[in-house]
Amino acid sequence: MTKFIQELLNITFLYYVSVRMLFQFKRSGMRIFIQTILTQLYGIGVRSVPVVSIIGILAGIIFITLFIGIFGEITGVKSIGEVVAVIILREISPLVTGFIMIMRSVTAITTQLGIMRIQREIEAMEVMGISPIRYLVTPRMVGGVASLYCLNVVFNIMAFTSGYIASYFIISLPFEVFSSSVFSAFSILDIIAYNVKIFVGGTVIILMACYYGLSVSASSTEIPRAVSQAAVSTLLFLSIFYSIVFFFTLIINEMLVSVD
Amino acid sequence: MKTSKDGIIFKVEQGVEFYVDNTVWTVPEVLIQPSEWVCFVPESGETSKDSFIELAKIFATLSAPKSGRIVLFEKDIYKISYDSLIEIRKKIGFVQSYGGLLSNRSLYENIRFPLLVHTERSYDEINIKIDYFMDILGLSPYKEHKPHQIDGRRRWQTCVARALIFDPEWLVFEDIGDWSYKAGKGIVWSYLKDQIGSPMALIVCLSQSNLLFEKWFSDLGGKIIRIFPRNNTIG
Repeated sequence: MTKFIQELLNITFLYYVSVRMLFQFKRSGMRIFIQTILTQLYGIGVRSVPVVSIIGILAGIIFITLFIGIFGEITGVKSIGEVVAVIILREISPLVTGFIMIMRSVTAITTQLGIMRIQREIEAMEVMGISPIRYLVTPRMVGGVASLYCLNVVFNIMAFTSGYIASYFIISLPFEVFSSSVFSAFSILDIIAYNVKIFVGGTVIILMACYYGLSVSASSTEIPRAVSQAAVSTLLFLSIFYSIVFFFTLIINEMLVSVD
Repeated sequence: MKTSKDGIIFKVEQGVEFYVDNTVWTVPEVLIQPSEWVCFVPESGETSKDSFIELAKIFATLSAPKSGRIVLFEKDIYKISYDSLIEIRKKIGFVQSYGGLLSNRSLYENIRFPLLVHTERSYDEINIKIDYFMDILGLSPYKEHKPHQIDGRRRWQTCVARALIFDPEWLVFEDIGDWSYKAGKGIVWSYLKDQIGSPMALIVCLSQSNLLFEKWFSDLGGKIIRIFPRNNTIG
């Protein structure tokens, strides 16, 4: 328990310093800072687009086909849009993109920083008066959150398109009916919850990856341990956090309905 | 050394103690002035690579001794803010024994990195300076090579070039291998020999006594300071 609290405090402190570094507008290091953010956007975001697209397409097809097969005749065609909006776009999309980020980027970041620690590259940066947090953690955090937003957009577009194509082929659902039922299913609260999930989820998983990578001290045998710790912790965090947001949104929605 | 400007850049007070692997080492009171060359060597027969890397880190402000006081530019190192420490670190050139180069960047980018972070110079200005050091240290043919594509000696030379790029006020060498100096015949040492008389101070931490190097160093006016391990161990 003490270790858990200690790690929580360390990650909170790392977050504080990283954010502080983000608002440190030093002209001298800006070009390399921006360059590093762009590199991270490419590494974390762009390179994940193919896998996110494929999973998005499959998610759209599978959910719509299953839904029509099981509930279609009972609930009617309008509910198909709600399935896409509520289940796929609001719940599945942040979760799947988050998991993909953990599998691809969290492990990569932890390994990279761990190796940098062992090869004393971080020490070399420190002695040159270069903050490792400003040039290693902050760009990854910014790039990670921005990438997660972009990956969600890609996932949603793919799931929406494939979901529509599936429903068109199965029950010949017109595009206007499908799209209007999707968009009408979204409330302001859903959009807020969706953004909170991506922003907080993205920030925390990247921070945890950096934290575990930087906590490697001397031996290369620590790297696999750090990677597995980072992957398990972020998976656990993401699942618990998203569940909390889900139930929180559900309760507020119920309260709003009862007020109406 | 031939010339010595006024001012103390580095002062070790109250006998600094540091330890690695349960052996405590004590550094006597030392005063390092600009243009001074100092070499720390363990007492003959003693050898401890990790300890002397630790000592080099103390001189590079990366590590804290167990006891004693380190004064930099008349300021206690533990009483200055992090921002001031960053400013001080810009004046230090630190040469790690294995180079400590960023593995995802070429040698050229490695040397350029601190300049891009700390200065607003144009790429042209930066390139002229890097080319100068790469040429002097025999690294020009390896500009685009990544650290893993070259041998240890060239990695080390790149680290020296990176350390010199800011015209440091003191240059710290952590444990250096036999191959790197051969009694001063290496390219780096030849360059440094030409710098005698410049304000740059030089601190070398050897992990074991090397009479050939020590003689060469003393002949150039450098000071050899022997360090003894304390008999009692901790833990």
